[in-house]
Amino acid sequence: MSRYREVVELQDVVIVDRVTKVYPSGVEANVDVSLRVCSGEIACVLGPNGAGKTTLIRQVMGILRPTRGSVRVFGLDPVVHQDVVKRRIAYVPQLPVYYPDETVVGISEFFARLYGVPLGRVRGVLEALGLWGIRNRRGEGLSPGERKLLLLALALIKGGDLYVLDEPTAFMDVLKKRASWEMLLGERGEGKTMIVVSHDVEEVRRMCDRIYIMFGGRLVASVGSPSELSRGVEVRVYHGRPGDIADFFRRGEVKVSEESLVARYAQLADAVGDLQEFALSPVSREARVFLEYPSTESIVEFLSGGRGR
Amino acid sequence: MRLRALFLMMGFFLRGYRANWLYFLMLYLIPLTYLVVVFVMAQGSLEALATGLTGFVVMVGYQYLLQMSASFVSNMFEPQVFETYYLMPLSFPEILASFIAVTVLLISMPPVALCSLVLAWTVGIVDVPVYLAGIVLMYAFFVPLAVLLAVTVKRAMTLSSILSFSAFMLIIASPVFYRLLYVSEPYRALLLLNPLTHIVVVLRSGSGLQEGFPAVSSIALLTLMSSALWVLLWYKLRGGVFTIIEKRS
Repeated sequence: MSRYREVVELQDVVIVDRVTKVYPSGVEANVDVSLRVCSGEIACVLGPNGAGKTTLIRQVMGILRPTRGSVRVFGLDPVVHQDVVKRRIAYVPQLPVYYPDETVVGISEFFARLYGVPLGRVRGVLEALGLWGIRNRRGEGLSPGERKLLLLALALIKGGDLYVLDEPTAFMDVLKKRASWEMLLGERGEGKTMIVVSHDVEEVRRMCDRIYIMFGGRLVASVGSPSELSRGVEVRVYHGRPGDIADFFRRGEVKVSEESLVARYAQLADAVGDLQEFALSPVSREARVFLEYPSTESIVEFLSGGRGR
Repeated sequence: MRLRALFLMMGFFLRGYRANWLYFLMLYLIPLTYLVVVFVMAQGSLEALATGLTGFVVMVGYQYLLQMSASFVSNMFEPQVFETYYLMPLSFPEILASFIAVTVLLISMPPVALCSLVLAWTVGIVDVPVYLAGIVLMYAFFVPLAVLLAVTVKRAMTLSSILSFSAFMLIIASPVFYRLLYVSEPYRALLLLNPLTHIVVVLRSGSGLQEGFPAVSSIALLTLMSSALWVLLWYKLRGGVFTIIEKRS
């Protein structure tokens, strides 16, 4: 039994257990979030702006301390064992941060020297990502997409057992996105574990094994495989005046009851699209959202006019 | 920390000054200007020269070791800045050590060394071990204080305001620009509560100016205070301190 437990625990690279993060301003960025990422898995956290994805990622990296709950990375508390965790994580931050006075090749070689990586790897990664042609351009002269690509290049040069990628292809054009996905899928082939934060359903479809959907700081759904993004789904929103928010869910078939609204979608991707728009509205703060696959009972309930619950 | 990584990081920080080389140059030019002023004001008096030069060393210590180090380190806790350092394969204490190495070796050492050479050449350093003890204790006091304040306050702007205000208070309330010996008794006791006063006392004793307070006592006090600061810092840095400023970005 103990041997079995040991094997199971080793496979859990990241465990987030009922994490709540409240900022000093009182904003609850994460509420009771739990997820697991196993070794060799690519887990995606999908959700609109302000869903609490970056806050969650920063807690996984150990640079923010959870208010409640716990995070374990490689079995360790990442805040306490930050150095150990940091060495094993390759990270791409959300914003295209950059080093203004460093050239693309200069900063890449600087990182390679720090890591003790052969300089040949720098050229390989920069060429694969299409950055070799602009290798002598300084950080301040790069477009946001190029800066993001450079951050990805630095993560790939460093390498790691766990890739934490916060919107890794944001600001990029289609060709750069494809080059990035190919490189990352190559790393996956080597058994690397990844957490990818994204808005991009296409990216999620191509890359991820498991999808966690966040909204308003809460995890509203967990999807076992990207193919399920094409399955029908039901969004249930509890709100004081559900009729007022029906317009946000126009891609779905909406039924409104006294206290909630139920929108049924043929594809999860459409539901995520509507939720992203809803999240931008101030009224979303008063809402509680649940996303679920419709059961036979709920189909019956839905067809009967949305009464109950 | 691997020395090679330390040198690579120091080079990295210095490269950041390439576009702002004038700012970097000013770090050396401003102290030079002050040295000229000290010479002009001294009008050939060796006592005035020794007073001005030793006071100047303490000023450099406060501005470059305390204020600048604290500013560098606290800026690191801004979420986006922190993330750029997270990409590096060094631990945060190692990155912090690189910051400190830059402010200690490249920014504060040259003016302190220059001033000490000028002092030795003009007035003469009569007690070299005591003078060196003063310099070492100044570094041993300001460096942990800077890091401790930075990792506690974390917000660069807040800390900068606090230290600028403290500069005003501490420099007025220490005999940096005047002799402690000539200060009347109640005020003198007050000045001796200020750690900067004790650095001044030790440096002046090394250069042959006695301030009416034993340099050995000042050395003992400074050793005690520095040791306490290093112990506090060690406790503070033990896990969990390197988290970003908590604000929703």
